[in-house]
Amino acid sequence: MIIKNYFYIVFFCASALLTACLPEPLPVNNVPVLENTVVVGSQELPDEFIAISLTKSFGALDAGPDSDIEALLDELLIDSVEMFIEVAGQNYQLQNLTNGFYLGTGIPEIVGEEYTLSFISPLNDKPVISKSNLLPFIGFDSLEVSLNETTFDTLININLWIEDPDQKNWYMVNVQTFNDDYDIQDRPYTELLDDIGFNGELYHHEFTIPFRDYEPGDTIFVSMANINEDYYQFLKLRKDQRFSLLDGLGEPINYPTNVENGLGFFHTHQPDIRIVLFGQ
Amino acid sequence: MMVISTNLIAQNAFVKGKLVDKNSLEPLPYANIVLLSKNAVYSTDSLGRFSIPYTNETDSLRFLFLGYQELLVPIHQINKDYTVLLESTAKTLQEIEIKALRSDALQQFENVRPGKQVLKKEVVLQLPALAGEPDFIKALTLLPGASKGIEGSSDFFVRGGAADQNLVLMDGATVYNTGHLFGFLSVFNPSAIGEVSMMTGGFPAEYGGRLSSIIDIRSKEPSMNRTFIEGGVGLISSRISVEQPIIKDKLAIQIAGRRTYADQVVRLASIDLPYYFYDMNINVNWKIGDKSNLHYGYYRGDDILDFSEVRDENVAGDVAGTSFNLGNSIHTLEFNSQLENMTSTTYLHLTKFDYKINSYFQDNFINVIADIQDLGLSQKFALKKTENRSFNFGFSAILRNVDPNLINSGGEISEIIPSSDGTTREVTETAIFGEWEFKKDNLEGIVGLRTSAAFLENTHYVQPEPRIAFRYSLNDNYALKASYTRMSQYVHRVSSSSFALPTDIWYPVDEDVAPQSADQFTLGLSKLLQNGEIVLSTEAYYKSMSNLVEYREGTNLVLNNDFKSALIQGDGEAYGSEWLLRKDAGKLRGWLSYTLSWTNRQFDELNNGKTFKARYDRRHNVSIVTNYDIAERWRLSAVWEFLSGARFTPIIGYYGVPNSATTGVDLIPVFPERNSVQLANAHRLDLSITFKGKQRSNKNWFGEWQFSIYNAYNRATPVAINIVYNEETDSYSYEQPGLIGLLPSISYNFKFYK
Repeated sequence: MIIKNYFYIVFFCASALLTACLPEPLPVNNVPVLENTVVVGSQELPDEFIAISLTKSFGALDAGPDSDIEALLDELLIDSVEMFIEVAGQNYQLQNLTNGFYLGTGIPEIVGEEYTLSFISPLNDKPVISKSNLLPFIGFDSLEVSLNETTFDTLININLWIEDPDQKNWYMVNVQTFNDDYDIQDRPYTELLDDIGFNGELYHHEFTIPFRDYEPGDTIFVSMANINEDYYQFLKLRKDQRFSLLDGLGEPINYPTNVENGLGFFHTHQPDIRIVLFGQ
Repeated sequence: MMVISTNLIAQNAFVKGKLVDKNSLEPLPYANIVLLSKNAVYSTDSLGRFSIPYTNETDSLRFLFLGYQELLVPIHQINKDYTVLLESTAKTLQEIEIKALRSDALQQFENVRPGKQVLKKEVVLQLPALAGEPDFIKALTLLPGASKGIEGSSDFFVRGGAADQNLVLMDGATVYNTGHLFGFLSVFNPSAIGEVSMMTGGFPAEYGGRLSSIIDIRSKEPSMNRTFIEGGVGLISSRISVEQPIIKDKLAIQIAGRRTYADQVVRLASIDLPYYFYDMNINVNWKIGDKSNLHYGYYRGDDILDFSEVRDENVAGDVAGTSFNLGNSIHTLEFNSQLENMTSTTYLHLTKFDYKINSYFQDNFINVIADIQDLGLSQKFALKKTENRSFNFGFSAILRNVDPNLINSGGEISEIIPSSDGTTREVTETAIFGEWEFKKDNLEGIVGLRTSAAFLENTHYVQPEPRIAFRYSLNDNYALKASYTRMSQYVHRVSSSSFALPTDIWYPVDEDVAPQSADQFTLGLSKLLQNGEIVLSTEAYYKSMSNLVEYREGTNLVLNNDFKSALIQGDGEAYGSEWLLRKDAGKLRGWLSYTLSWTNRQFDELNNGKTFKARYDRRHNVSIVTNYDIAERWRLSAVWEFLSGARFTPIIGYYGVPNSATTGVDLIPVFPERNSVQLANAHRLDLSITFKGKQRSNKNWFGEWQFSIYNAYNRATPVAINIVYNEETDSYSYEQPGLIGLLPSISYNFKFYK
């Protein structure tokens, strides 16, 4: 009994300890403010070779989980910029659609040529330039998508074959699922392949999409593309950070960009897109 | 007083022994001993031992120790009985202990080497402590040169170095993990420890392997004459130590243990707390004849977390859980022997730090094992040629085995974290050393050289490490000190730039990762005040570091085995000045320390190659430590600390780019220059009041209650920068949260002897 009473006293004290008052957080006034910068994004649209999105960066205090995302996007999209692509000595102006989208129509696809994107930044009036080489199209030699029934989940298995040419190549494979209403399910699952181990060979690669439970009726988009090394490195860095639930607790990182006087990536890769729909 | 003597009556005869309290048999450190015929004064060491040369066995020694009755003992009597008890004039054991501390500051003044600080157990026990748990490591950070990391963490930073650049030794063996409870409490049970010393500059040649500091923790020597029990009961844990002579004056053992019991207590309220830690120490001391001593020490400590739950009772196997076991185990064997005018000390140690994590969720599981193990042997000789000249030399060898992150995974998670057997790495680290100590007139000096080497399968590294220290007495009260040392480090703990975890990997040098090294210059001036009761010292230092280790930008920190591509090396420098005013005697005791320092880093692959400030580049560091006897049985203690804010790299913005499938937007964080933002300055007041139980002459029990308040004015010590939403203004703002606020605690400490 005495021991039990003693335990109750200690329990009371331990509870007091655990619930001891937390100190008031201190204000912060010395964090540098991010200077807005133009952000270039390359879109992949069916039947359109070059489509660019133009936005600007925003400060960490400008938005958060409670922000009105649509209002934020309206503020970030940049329209009415004269944007050009130069290739093989020819200059092509991109057409500004709405919502910060710019479409390049009639631009020839010349494998091995360098495509130069240029415009004047409306944020600081400095020229923005980005270059990308058009790599040869390399698609799936074969693709097999199957379902893997485990005790608790139905997972998607991917088997793919690539006929890798002799030169150095880097590949990106994306798997994205959409539900019945074509709502996007999570972020795409990305596999990155460096042909250092299979240069010039027919390569078979197999993987399972973890922790994505397939539902009957889901549509599966699988795409692959032969990409430039700098974009491969950028995606690899992003993939390495996928466990960082809070970016602020990971290693600080300045992500690479191929945009001078701006951020983001301009790329010209040509994806091979497959759509898979299983029966009910 | 117990004395173990030699029987030499020649010119080089020494009378040896150990000075202890008559009642408690506790050693009395740094007591003065006068050899009557020469009127020469000697001193006991930190464990109460002494060794005094004499020529005539009819001569006598006079023992003087503040708070004790003076005692005159003929040398032949000491040689015959070798047991003399020094009797206290003070009324309580606690008072004796307080007054016995007087010589700590004096020791620092008299030491040839700058940058050496000593903290005794009694001082640490008097300080206010987090949750009432006395902590040697946190007490050390109140001394100049050492700085805290994240609040509550047992990591600390010395003279601009990193946390892994501090060599923490327990009876000569490396302690790789110094923190329990994810670093909030140190692994050292105060009841099992005798003394802690910290060296931040002027390193002896026998020490090496880390760049910034040597923390030498010595176990308490078990009592040879009486059963002695001490312990403490706190809110988080309780501890006890039992010392028992096995053969009186020859062989004794100490067994000490500590455990948290919150898990057991809350179980009474049907609450499951799946965590506890424990540690245990065993010390055995065997005096082999008059000239030899053998000590065996054992330490084992573990942090254990074991959590499991059934997620859905209707689905077979739908369970989740995690078990986590992290701990050190250490064996040490030390053999001392006296040969004429030479002392030989042999150390053998086996130390291991490992952790095991087993997590499962439905049909997914991941098991992780990592460990580092040292098997070490060292031999040291101390040859005393004359009173003013001596030579220390020896060698050491450590066979180090490292298994970083052995992973076994199954289920879906194996697609993300595949099984990996890691790569076991073996490194043999060796050193030979020698140093010559001399004294001529007012000049004392130590000139030494340590040559260390690491041998791997495919390569090896050899590093010469000169060690020089001088002390010049300007007069009886002023001393000028200077030193130059080079240190090399062959194993690195790899931590995130933002925070450290107990599971951070220790990684040895390899073909690509070269040893770290540092050259340090120190210049110091010490002054005695008030007849030696107060010591004022100041030191200035400059340290240049090379081959420092960091993670490459953007490295995946989760169970990454690819250290070859993840680790990068660069340079650093640190400089500053340190001030200390210390008083160890009287009613008011304590110290005031101030450090002004700078430390920078330069890595080609970080921050675009530009120099940046280190994470814990704290410009100002102030500690005021006071103990005041307000009445015979009451003592008030206060610690106030001020630390300039640490450095941080917060996210300052984002930008959105189409994701790789262009089906959505990927938000990319933007960081400023590395460590360019300074967190708010931290300052904190800790208070404690100690009430000593009434001591009765016929009782051998001494007890005291300590009431502590940590962070008395509840000020946040920032650990990071968060972004918070303000509903009223519909806007976001930055704030710096702290971890621990005002925290009251109560503890009871006791001693008993029979």
